Amino acid sequence: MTERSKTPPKPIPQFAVEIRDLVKTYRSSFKRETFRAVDNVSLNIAPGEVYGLIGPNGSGKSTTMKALLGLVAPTSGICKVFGCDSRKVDARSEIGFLPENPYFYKHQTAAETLKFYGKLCGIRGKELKNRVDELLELVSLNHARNRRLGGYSKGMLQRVGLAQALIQNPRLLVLDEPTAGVDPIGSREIRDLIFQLKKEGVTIFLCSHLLEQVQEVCDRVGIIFEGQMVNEGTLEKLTSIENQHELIIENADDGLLESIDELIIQHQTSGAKLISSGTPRSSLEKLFIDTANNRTRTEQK
Amino acid sequence: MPTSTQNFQKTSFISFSRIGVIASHTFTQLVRMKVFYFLIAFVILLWGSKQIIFPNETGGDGSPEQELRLIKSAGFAAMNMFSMLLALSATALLIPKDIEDRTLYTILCKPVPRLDYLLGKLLGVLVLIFVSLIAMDIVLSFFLNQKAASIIAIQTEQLTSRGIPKELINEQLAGLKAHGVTINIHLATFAIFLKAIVIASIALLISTFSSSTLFTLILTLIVIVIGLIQADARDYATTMAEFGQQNQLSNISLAVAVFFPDLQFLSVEDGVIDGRSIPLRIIGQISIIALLYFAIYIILSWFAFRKKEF
Amino acid sequence: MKPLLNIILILAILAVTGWLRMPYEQKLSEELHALKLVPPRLSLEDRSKLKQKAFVATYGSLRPTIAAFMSVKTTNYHSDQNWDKIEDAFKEIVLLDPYNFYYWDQAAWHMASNAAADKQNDRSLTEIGRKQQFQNYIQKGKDIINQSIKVNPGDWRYLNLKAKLEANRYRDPDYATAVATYQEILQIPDLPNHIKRSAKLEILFAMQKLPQRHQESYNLAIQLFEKDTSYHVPTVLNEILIGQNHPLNNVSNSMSLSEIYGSNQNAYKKLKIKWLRRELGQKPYGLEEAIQQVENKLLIPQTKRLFPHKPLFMN
Repeated sequence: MTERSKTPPKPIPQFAVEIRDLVKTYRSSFKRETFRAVDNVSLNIAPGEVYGLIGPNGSGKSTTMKALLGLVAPTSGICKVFGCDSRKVDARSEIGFLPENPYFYKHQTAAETLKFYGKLCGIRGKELKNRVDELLELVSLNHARNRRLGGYSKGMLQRVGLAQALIQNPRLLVLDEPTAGVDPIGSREIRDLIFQLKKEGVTIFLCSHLLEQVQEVCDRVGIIFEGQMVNEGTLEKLTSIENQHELIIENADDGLLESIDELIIQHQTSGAKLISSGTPRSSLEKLFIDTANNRTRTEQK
Repeated sequence: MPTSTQNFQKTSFISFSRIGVIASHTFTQLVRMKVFYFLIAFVILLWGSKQIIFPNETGGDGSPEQELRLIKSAGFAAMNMFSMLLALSATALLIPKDIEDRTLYTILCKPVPRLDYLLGKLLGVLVLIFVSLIAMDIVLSFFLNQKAASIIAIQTEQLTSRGIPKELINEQLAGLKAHGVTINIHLATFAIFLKAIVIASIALLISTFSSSTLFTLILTLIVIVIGLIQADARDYATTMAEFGQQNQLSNISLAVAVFFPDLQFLSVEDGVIDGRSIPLRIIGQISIIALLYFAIYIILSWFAFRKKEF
Repeated sequence: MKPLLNIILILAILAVTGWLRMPYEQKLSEELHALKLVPPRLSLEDRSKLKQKAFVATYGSLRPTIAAFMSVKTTNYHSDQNWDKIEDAFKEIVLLDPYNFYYWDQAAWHMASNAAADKQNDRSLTEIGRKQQFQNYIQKGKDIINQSIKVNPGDWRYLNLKAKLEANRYRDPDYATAVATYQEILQIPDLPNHIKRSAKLEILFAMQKLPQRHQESYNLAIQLFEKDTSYHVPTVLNEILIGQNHPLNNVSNSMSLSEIYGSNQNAYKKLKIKWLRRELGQKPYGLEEAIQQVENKLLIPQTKRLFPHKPLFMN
């Protein structure tokens, strides 16, 4: 199905994803009005990086993603995946895509679905079988591998979607709202999976409305608004309040805390001041997960 | 997991194995929709047709033949209806459903050229129709053979009792045997399959630029109906041109003849119902034309679909 | 704009390929019609007669199916003796399935046999009216058969229908036409042998009813007699006897009763039936004498003889 190119090795591309001055214009059939969904968007994603694209609904995130996947043709500009034009079919051998609210063929089981997509990518025989087993294990769906997808919950479908996106070992993973509609446990598992893939060197390009999760997993973030990229950079750069510093101390007694207060007062002349002090809060998500895990352990005993 | 490679894997323009994967998947999808249950209705229909006995009131030779004709016409009519409905609805639903469900995204985001996708989907439907027609052909042959055998047995007994020699009996029954199960039944079934191929490829073409399943269904149905009278329109336009007389009607007829397919030449089952033989060269000719239609419509479908945006 | 351009291009390609394939398809279509593998074309007039059925019947193999269901309905009309509805129904049926002998046969039978007989006995009509209606329906039957022959040329079954009706002595027979039609049947290539045989015998049977063709009838009988023993049927044997006794016939070789019939018993049996079934006005030359001769040879008791006393004109 796919064959190794016989041309001499090309230079290793600098970026996994290269989008330069991307413009996408839609024209309505009768009114002949044009609508610019994406307006000169440029972004680059280095290999092995996790990049998050965030923005309000209708800001052009999905259109940018679709241009990268070859589902829409750019009106102007360049979209490349590891140096290959995104409009070419070849580029897709390196891409795994999880769409928002994935809907697969209800009549198939999880195993059949993965086999189907694996075969489309040219994987066959024992290699395919092993890959399917591996992925079902990875997304914790082994127990339901022979159940038709029509009987799956949303979270399970999301996991099948992730598995099919990974079937051909892609170098670039494109995730559109990967945790939408998934419960906190499932959401945490997907996040952990993203971390794992990142460690393995997979480049990840994701869109999400769940800003906390973006903050957790992404190395770099782009903010898109009304089709234009308004801000971009590393999370540290984007979210840090430069003139403030945070310390979290465990098991500090009152004496130590008083000493710190005194030290700050001593340095008031240089402009330093204490903004706030108190016990940090855990997240509701952490509480939920810890509670669920404890209950599971109790039931097992 | 590799972080970089030096060579990009080249995807071939067309891949039969990839087409086969999509076709097999589509076939399974349709089978799991329980379309084969219609075979029960088909068996009941033919069993019912077999029970009908036409009275031999005139004393002529017509009534035993008429009973065999009825089984054949009911069988072929059902085959035509079913294959047309399946070709039409299954194909018209394929792409819009995939777009609506966004399953198309996950397929086209794999290294799958759009032509492979179209061919795979269409082939899946055609394989289903083919398997269904084979099953119906077997059922039809079974009932027809039973009926023909019983009629021939009765007639042989009657003629023997009148002292007619065996050679004369065989001669007299030759016409009746021509209405039984012969190779022509299977050739007619094959012609129905060719018709389904053409209808399915028309539906596919329309679905590539239509945004609505209903619109696709209606437009394809209109094309089919026009296709069935296209031969009459072409005949009229040709005759008027030969006589050097042209009017608005002949111009419209010419346009119909040019733009629409001729589906009448694939309706050779009518001749088989009348007990006629289909020469193999005719089957060859209609196959070539049907496959040409298929090729043209597939190429045009690919042309419309290749740059379609989702 | 681009989708519109795409559609224009697609239409252009369809137009070009359509133009190129037209002559080839026209030729193939004509061949298929000649082989009668596809249903005959319906004219605009026929389509308007069929109305919605024409639309439905446009789809292949539905035409014979619809025709079959319509023909089942005609049994109700037959029970009600509604001849007009039967006529109208069969007009549509034969339009839908014109190559089906069964429907033409049924249609002609309903008109020429059933309707004609019904009108012949219809006491609500005057005597002239009954005769007129009787002839009218027989003519309708003949018209149907003639139409069937036009639609199915070269098919012996339709010619056979015509000949049978013309030779039917209860239906205003035209024996000359019957003979001509049977002779037309014999011209059809690849005619089954049993039909050839039957047609020859029917020609003789009809020709016997034409007094002016007495010589031709006798010659044909001799020809058939000499051809094969399967032709040694009463029609042939009796015609030989009567023909060779016809005063105006040229008889090259007169045959005895035993030569004709094989035996006196067989002769007596066949001659007796012939005598009892003779038609009024017919002159069976030599029949009476032959019966007498055989009765004497077989020593039939006087009480059982057809002619117990000598005929007045015999010595």
